[in-house]
Amino acid sequence: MGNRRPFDIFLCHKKSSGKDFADHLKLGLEELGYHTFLDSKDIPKMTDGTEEWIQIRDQALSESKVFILLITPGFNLSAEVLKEIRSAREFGDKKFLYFRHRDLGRKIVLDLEGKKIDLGRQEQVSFENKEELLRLAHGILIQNKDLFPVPASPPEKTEAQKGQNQESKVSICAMCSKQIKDQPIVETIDNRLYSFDCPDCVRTFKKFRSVYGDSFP
Amino acid sequence: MGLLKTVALHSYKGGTGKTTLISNIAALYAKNGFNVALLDFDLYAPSLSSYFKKKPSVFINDLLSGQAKISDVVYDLTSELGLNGKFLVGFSSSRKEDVNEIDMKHDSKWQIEAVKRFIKAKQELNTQFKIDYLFLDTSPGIRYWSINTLATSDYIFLLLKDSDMDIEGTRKMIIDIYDSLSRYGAKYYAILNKVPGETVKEESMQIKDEKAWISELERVVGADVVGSIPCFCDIQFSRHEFLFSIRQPSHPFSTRLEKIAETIKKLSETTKKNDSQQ
Repeated sequence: MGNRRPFDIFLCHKKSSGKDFADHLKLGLEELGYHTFLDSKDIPKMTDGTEEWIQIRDQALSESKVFILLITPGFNLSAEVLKEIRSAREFGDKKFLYFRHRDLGRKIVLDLEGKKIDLGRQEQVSFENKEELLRLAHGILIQNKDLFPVPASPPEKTEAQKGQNQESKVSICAMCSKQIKDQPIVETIDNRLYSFDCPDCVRTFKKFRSVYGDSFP
Repeated sequence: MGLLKTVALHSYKGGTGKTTLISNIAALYAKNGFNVALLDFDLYAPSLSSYFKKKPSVFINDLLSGQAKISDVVYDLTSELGLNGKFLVGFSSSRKEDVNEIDMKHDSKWQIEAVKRFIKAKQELNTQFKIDYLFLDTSPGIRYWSINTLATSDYIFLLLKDSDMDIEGTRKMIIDIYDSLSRYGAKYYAILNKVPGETVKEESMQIKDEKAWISELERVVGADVVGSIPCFCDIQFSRHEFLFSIRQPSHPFSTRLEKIAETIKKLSETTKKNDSQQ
């Protein structure tokens, strides 16, 4: 633990309805250089329900600058989610980002041990699918230069990851191979992340995939 | 920088008139003030160099191999043809070795790199040369580089003649390829060429039959027919038809092409605008 990189972002979600979104967001943000905490990925499974699990979670919460809450069905009924929100608020130094699934209404009231929080009054960003969620989150993080003044750099990859994600280096467009100067468009295609220079490249890439399948590229 | 619109003309079978039509339509666009690039992506049977009577020294093949830039490949024929917008033409090599090399000698890694080089070149046509419309002449049927050309296009126009083989092949191509591409924004339409039985003098009498035929074809083939061109004997049997639409603008062939060019323009303006707003 001593030399590990502190977390930038804490991802809070309800497992039953938000796991897919959270997994995708974690993977995408890590690729973009934001060290993102997701309990299911960053806490060893064997510690489930133990004091150690809580310690690791709380440590991640304390060091994260950004708290992302995924508003998916039933999230406000999860005791764990509510506890994480309460703890994060107590720290008082977090930037809260609320991402609401488009199927849900904007007005949601949280009951944090008697204290009512009306999320309808908070700035929310709605999303429809995991690709859009990642795109929106990345866009907001880039705008918040005060939080991450130095461009986030991707963490060291394991050898296995290096082999797996050769195509998803953020600096090169997966379609035209051009170096991406501005914000990349990150898309998940067949469970793999690809970065693109422009919407035309995304469309063209998808067209090639539609006719050649995963033999392209 | 405007949005570059990429238009491909394709067919199931050869001999449908792709090269003649796309060259004429591209030249009409340049005549009307658009900046146009026309590239010969019929890599298996190139014919643009023969059509324009040019002997180029740098080819699209060199661009795909990474040995040339797009600026080396395109030839500026604007002033030679007296056009108002830019008219750049890129030729591909008809040397036997070069044609064979495309599929036979290169591995899949080379092919993918070649596709990427072409995509980059397209962007450069837009940024460096301010091209508004890129027209791509393609190889007929479902071959590797026909598909690649189609996958890089925004608008695909399928040219077909009145033949059962052509109609059936086109229908199958739509199911196998076009429908996949259209899921990601490509638009495709059909154009009938060499419509039989029509003479210039009796045009008004024949329109009714032509309309019925078009409607039947749309049902069978599964694509909207956005234009039709009668079979004109003087064009069909000309040894070297060359930009008739520019040189003889009052000829019925030219007026038909102008109509089609206008339709393509309308379709591309509407759909590209909608796409960019999404």
